[in-house]
Amino acid sequence: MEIDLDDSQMLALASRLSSAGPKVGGIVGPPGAGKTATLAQEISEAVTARGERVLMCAGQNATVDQTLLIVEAILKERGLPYNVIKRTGNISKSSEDIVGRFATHKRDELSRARVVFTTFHSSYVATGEPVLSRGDFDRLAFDETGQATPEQAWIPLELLDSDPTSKVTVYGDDRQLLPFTPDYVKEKGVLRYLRENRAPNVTQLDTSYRLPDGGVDMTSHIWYNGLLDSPSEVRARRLKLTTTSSGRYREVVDPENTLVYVGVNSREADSGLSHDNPGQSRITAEIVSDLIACGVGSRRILVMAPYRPHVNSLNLALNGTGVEASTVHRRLGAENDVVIFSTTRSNANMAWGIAAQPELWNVATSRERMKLIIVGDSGTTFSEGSRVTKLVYDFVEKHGRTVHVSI
Amino acid sequence: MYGAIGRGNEKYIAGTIAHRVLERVGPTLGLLWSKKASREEILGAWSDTANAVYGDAESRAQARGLSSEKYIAGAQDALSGIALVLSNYFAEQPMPIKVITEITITNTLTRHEGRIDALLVFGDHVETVDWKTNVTGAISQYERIQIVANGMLVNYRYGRPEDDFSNNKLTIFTPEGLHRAIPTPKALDSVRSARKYILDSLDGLKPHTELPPIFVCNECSYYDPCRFYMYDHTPDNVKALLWGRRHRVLKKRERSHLNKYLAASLSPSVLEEMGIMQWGYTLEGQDDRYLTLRKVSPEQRLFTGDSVRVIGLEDGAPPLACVSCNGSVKDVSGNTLKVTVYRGKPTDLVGLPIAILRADVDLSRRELESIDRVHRQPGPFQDMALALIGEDA
Repeated sequence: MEIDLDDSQMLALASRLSSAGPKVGGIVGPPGAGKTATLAQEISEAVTARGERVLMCAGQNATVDQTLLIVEAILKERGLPYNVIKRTGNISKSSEDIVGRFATHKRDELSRARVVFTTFHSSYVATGEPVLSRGDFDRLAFDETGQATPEQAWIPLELLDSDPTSKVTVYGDDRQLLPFTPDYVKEKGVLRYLRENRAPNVTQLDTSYRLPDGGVDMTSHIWYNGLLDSPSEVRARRLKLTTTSSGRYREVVDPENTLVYVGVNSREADSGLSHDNPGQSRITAEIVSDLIACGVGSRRILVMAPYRPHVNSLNLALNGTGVEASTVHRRLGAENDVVIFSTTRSNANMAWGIAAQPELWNVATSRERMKLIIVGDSGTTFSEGSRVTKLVYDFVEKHGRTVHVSI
Repeated sequence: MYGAIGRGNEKYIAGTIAHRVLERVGPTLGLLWSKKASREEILGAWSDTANAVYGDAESRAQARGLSSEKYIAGAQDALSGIALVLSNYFAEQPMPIKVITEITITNTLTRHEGRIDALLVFGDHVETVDWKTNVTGAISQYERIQIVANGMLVNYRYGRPEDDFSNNKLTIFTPEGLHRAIPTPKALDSVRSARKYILDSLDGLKPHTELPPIFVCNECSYYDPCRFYMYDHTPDNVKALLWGRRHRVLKKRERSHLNKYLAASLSPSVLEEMGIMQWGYTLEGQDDRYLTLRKVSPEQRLFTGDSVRVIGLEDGAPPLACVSCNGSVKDVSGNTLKVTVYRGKPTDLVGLPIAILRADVDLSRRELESIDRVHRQPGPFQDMALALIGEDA
């Protein structure tokens, strides 16, 4: 599996593989811009063309495993056996395939591997019995550094060779979810620090291979200063329905409406310290049923909400559809043909609380390959409640489709 | 100094290997006691576990180009000694009603948490047990105070004031014998003042520090970091940055304990509603690694990936002092959960009603250690760490 890189990916990669490039560099990957593919390519090139030993780390085990499988496919095509790759750390969440073929905690096996994959926290253990040795890697490649705090990214640094040619590349997108302090104040991740303090060392990928018409324009306009675009074939991607919806969600389901806002006259309900909106859950479930009735398979639909209680009520409403709702935080990196974001909040004070963070909205509104449906309130909580929701609402009203329904 | 990395001490390696064996053989103790097993029988019952632990130690040592032979021999000696002491104890003492090993107890009132090596439950008293596999000769004051601290948690588990040791014996097993620790008022004061010092530090106060006599420093594994931070010459801007990061990590650590405090202070219905703690689970199946749990009603509110403390609710014990396993939710199917166990013994939960507390994973130790490394290594390493966030030294 060789990956054809576009111009911005090639440029970013060249800077990281060149001896003249900065020792520490960042690559920002907006939604669907092929960040993981570029990361896998950097690792593979470093191993095969430069003979380097590489350590790849991320915060989440799932991200580590996803990158591992792409690197394996590239290296296999280049004639390297799978056993040059090793996975270590807490592998309890990894698939049986990854555990069976790659996982080890044995230092001799790890010291022979050309590429080692692990999480930040499992990478270097100062006390006890460390499995990876100090100074044993020529290159460190980190993902999810928009979310990684400095002390997390510093954990594997001991493993980098002190040679001046050794490199560290940090991948991620600091305009998506950010780390939070314990008192729920936004923190800066490593990539944000680097982008603010050493902008010339950071490259941004500029082409989304995920977002269709409407979605890419909104994402680019609101979060990436207009610097993101999709190829024409991606822009033109549309749902194919086996039958046309004739109910009240006809406009919502219509494949040509790639960006839809559904206003619901349903107030939020407090749930502990969090929030639910049973009315939005009911409408979301009805839209899902309509999509399925029109021939969209349940596996092609992704439903998200910012609050856990609302996710619970969505799952109750979705029971039997084969679609499972999840929080936005758990869907970082995910994509699907149809994405429904149920926004929960609807109140007299137009309050958004923690859900007003722009980075959460960037994640929630950039997962779709063909259609994004935002379910919100029919009053002013969405359209006026926060700067970011107003930006989204204004964009959809002008360039997408706005529908209001009653429960 | 949170996160400071001390120097390792070779003399503890054999004892650590032996302790690792004892952590795993806890479930055999009841049966061995009932048979009044001899040293040989005890070692025979432990041999598979011990061999697995030795094999692991050997492969780790080999990979580092070291020989593990003398450490494994040392561990074998320690285990042989402990087995002899235990067999004598089995012969002398009536069998306990229950043996619980590796139990984590949290007392939110005193903000004190600890893991007890073993708890022997007799009809009229309990025994708090500590394995000291490294110790030869007399028990040190530090070791006595450590078991007194654990005993205070055990008193809480049984609904007594933490300093009421009337039904709680403190027993330290070493390879050479059995020692009883006495919870003197002085020892109790030592535990309380050490606890207060730590908690005051974490609360942002600046408690008075009494430095120990210098001859103690020479034995301390934290001598180097202690000297470094006492005479820290790091540039002020870097110092401020690194202390700021430490503060944030400690706040995060504080947050990771929050649900335990909520569980101890809010009503079950509110906790259930907030999804912090849920009752009414039954254990459907278990093995060494996984638990399968089912909630009857109301609906369960956990997600795949949630970190949890699965608590077996014992009669009369506060929930956070009951037997428990820590793990993460691997699969959710309706009201049935599959939980991967990281810590604790799934067999301890059999036959008990189950409650589940959502528990944030505390990974702060690694983060504090990384800050310490950056702080104490000026030069290229520190420069590299600062370059990663675009800062200059």
